[in-house]
Amino acid sequence: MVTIKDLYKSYGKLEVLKGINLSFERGKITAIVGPNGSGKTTLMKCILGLVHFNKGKILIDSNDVSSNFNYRELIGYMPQIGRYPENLKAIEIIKLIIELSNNRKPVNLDYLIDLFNFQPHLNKFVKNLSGGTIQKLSAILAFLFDSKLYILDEPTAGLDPIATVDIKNLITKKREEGATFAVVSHQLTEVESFADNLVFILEGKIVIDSPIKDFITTTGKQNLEEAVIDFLKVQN
Amino acid sequence: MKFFLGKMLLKKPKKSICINIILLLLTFSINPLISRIIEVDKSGILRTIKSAVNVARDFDTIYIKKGIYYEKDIYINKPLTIIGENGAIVDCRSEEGFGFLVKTKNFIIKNLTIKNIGISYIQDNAGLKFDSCENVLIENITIENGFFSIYFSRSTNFTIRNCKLSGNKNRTESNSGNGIHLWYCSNAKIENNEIRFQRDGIYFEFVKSSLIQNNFCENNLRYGLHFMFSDSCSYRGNTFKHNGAGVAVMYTNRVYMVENTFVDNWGPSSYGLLLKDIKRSYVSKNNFLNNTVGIYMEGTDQTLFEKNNFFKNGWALRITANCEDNTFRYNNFLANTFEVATNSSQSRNIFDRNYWSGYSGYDLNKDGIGDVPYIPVSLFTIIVQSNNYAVLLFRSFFVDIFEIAEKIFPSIVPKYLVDRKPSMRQFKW
Amino acid sequence: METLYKITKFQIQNIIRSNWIIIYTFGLILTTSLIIYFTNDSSKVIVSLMTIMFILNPLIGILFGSIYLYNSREFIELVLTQPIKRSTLYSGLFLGLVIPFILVTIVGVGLPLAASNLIEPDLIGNLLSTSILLVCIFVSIAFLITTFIVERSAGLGIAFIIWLFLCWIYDGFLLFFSYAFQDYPIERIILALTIINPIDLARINILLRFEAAAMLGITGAVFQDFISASLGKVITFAVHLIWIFIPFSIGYFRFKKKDF
Repeated sequence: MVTIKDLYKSYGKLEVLKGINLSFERGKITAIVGPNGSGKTTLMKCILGLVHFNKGKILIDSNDVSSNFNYRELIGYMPQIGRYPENLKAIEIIKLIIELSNNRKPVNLDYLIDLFNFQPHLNKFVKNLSGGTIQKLSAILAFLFDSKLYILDEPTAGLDPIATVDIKNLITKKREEGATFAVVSHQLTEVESFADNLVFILEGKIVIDSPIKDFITTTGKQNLEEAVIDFLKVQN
Repeated sequence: MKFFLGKMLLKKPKKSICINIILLLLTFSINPLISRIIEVDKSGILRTIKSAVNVARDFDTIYIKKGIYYEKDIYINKPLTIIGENGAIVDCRSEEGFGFLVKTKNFIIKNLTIKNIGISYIQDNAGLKFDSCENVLIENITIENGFFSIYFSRSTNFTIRNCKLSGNKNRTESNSGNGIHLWYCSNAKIENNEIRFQRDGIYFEFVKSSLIQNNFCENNLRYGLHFMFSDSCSYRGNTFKHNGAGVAVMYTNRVYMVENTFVDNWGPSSYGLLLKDIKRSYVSKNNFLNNTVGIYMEGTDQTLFEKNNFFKNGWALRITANCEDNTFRYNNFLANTFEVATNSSQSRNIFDRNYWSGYSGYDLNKDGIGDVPYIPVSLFTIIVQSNNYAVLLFRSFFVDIFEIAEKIFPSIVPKYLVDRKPSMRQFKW
Repeated sequence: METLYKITKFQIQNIIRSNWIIIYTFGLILTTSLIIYFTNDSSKVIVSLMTIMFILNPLIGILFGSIYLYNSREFIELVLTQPIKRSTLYSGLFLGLVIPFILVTIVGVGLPLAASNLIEPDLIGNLLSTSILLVCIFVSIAFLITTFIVERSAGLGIAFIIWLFLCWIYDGFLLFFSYAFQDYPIERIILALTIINPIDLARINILLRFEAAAMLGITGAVFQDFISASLGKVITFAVHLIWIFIPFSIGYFRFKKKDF
């Protein structure tokens, strides 16, 4: 689904990505994990076209990211912090995204509104929405369309436990329908519960890229968290 | 009068008086009989004005019938009355020479149009030129495309009224002449004339005891009125609009300037009224509207300026340091960009009870006089005085803030030029 | 084009519902009405309004514009993940910010002026259009700043300094310059320097309409030409357009290349 070849990015002298080679398997959930400042957000932004990389290539279903912006209609994106124009209503923002989407059908809209119990919030102004509700709005915007690829940045941060479960179920459901996922997360336990593959980035380089189960097995630990910590100790 | 005469006749029936009256009545009634009317007609016996003048005797009347007469240098040396029919036109075809050249006493000319006076750089070509004349009346004369229009030298006792004089729009100052030009004259009365596109609308040099009244001078290339060495003259009720340099009154004592309007005289050296070396004069109830400078004064002394309106001028007054003992009172200063500018470093003139729209003081005792003296010179006036270009910063935020600072901590603005009793209300004159 | 329209529409919708804009509009209506009510002299009204329209309005334009753009950062990112061109988004943001300001100016100052019948419609038009051009300039400078300066407080500081420079410091410099080189033929330079500053140019353009008498006191043929000919108006318009265009397009190219 996504192929990243030899990707380099630096901001001035600061090298953030130092030769990333990676691919996201179709129909799988890939968790991107790493400490703060390791480059995971930059990597995502490269895929989304928000950041122009210095060197390398990103292909999404054989579309070159740097040549055309239309590939973005294949992607549903959920940012870590959603901030929306204060004086628009939630429904108006949803409409805006629909209108900007190259005539894709918002097939999941009703389902999502149901799922997150969003009906009472639709006609509220953004400035009157709580942090959790805004996070739900972000999720709705990301899953509006039947996208081939979903990029989610900390999707459960700031959500209440019920909504967290809802979103996980949603991810699982979409995966079963054949969608590919790249999920940035801090919480290894959470990652373990739904992800297929693990990509661990450290200082701009990929240090782990393997199916989660295989990784745990090779380290011989009980769970992912312990496995990663063990792995990092070995590395140092 | 009748009553008086009757009284004289009845109560004091003196023979000599009776005879005198009868004789007087006779001369009045006989006069028309002895003076003839000579007709000039394009299709008559006398076809040119010149020929009519030739055959005319003293005190005859020449009646010019309708038509265009291509004539010039019509020389008149005897007392005559010339009257034109409607549509009687003398066309000088822009050739060298005068329309009429008059050297006589007792001359009247009325209802005539004179056109196309030739330009000359050697002599003062004019539509009507008078030299050494006395008792002249000029009425309802129209001069079109004139060089000089009406020109008097060394003459006395004459009236010019209801004339429309105009030069040529497309000419410059150097190839234009004046509308009404007086040189070494006295007892002239100039009233209700309209003068346009001349060099100077009205020009006075060495004229005494004359009156300029209710004239309208517009779009003249240099001055609307150019007035020099002419003592004891008055002008009142005139309008001077959009003339090249406004009105100049110079080297004169005892000028009486009342109820005139000076409007739209714009330009770097243009003034509503320029006063230069003027003494003991009176300037009152005039309106100065939209001029770059309302009054510019140089070497002007002992003159009273009262009840004038200064409205929307760039500078209402510019007073140079050599002006002394002038009084300004009961004037209205409204919405002028700058009220008073001076390069003087001491107080030589009096400002008293004027109304200043820039005044923001208060009147606690309600006597109509502001309790705080008003200094009409602003900081910015001083800046512009010393630096012409600074005008470009007028009304800028920068200057505004400096003005406010100066008001709070006065340090630059002179305190000698002050109206100690500024009026709270605008005067109605 | 359609996308541009949609973005602009949403943007306008968002901004005109903002409390700030509503308060500012009513503030303008109130101030303008009070000025008209308390000063019957039309030229005094114009002078007071000039301060509002040529000094305050640009300040609000550049500050509100910058704050708005800094606040919209995340949303801009989200919109950019949609299949649209960056240039379209940029232009949409600009139009969406400028159009509410145009409306505010027309409603806040234009309406009370027109209702009062104190000033001739022609001059009102001139005042409004000049003010609108100025707001566009300062909003476009806000775009320039926010595309280059990531940090919000630094960006706002720079925005304020630019405003202060153009409406105040620059004139001080000009005055100093004209004194220092008074004895030289600096006529053209002074005129050029004045014209270059959009606020000065706007001010002079309006002053020429109703206080030309004093302006004409300046000696020199160059001034006369600029002042009397209709050339002045054309130059004013052209210079203002350039002032909008240059920051806008530098920001535009930066925005296209920028990493979010």
